[in-house]
Amino acid sequence: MVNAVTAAEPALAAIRDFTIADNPSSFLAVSEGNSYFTLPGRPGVIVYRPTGRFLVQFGGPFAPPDSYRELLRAFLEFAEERGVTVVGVQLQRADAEIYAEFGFTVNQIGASWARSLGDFSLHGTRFMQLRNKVSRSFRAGLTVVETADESWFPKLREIDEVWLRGKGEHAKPLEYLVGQYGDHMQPHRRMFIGMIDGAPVGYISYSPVFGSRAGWMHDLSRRQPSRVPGIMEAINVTAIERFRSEGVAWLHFGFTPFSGLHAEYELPCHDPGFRLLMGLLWEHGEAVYPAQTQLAYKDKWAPDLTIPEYVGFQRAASVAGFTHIFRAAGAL
Amino acid sequence: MSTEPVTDVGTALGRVVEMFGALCADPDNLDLAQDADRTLADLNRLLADQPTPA
Repeated sequence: MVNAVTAAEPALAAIRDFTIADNPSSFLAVSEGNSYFTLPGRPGVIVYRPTGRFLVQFGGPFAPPDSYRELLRAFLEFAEERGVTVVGVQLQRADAEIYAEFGFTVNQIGASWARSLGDFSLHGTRFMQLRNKVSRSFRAGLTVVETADESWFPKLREIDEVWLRGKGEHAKPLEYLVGQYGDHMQPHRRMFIGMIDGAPVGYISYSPVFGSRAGWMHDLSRRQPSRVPGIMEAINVTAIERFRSEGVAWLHFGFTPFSGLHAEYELPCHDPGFRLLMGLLWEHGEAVYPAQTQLAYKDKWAPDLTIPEYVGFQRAASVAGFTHIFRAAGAL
Repeated sequence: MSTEPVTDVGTALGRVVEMFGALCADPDNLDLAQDADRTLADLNRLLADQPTPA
């Protein structure tokens, strides 16, 4: 029986080595709870979670060009043998075009956002509010540390619990499409913690991003409810300064569903009705996912790269398939 | 939920959202899933019937 650590190691190697799709969220592939599909003797891995009648795949195959289609074809056969349907989420453009070749209906489902760090600074009126918030938090006694000391993590879990309780009685923590910390992959991440009077008040976990826009992704982040503004912003400013000093080229902010939708990003095989649904969920879908609120935080940092991401339905676009993405993410 | 045929895109889109919500509460309900996907197909038929802008 393969345990989680053993199963995830080939996935880690795959996301590091096979980066043609440049999926900025690829580190989610190694999260606990994922299932993996591979072909004996062939490079690459497919990441998925079974939910009901679906296999919800994260990204496209993390594979080199000479095994990508073979792996996908075998995965579709695997699904057919089990009488289930594949739905892919957070496909990158390169993935989306191949999935269209395979007869998938592919629609833009949102975008990932990123900021180049080479010439990034907080100078100017664009960042005045941000600078003020950060200053206020430091004046209130906030300090920010980067730490690999996991003895802090129980305190961070307390922050998580308070945050989750604030979301409502029936709120559940999301998974699969959100980051983790404190697992066997922790050595590959970076944790920045904001402290006041020696106690954690917030944190941001950064996950590695591989490929042509390598860098770090602003991943899981939480803070205590506080009268002190700017805690998250101050943590991120500290991290940015550290990254820039190391010559890191990109800070990624990850995927926001229903954001960055543009007609020119759609493939010819897209479903027009599903496209309307995505637009509606951007405008009015805060109960489904608070996309505008989430993007507003990312927009504070003036992201200069929008990366459209796609959902792939094995045949026609499917409300059921879309629903099972939420189910796989623990939202139902 | 209404079963009357819809003739405008807004109502059809609303039906899709309605079915998405119902399916979220009962994701393994095969009949509901088929109904949900049918509402999306209805929406697409209406969109296909829309006159193309000049």
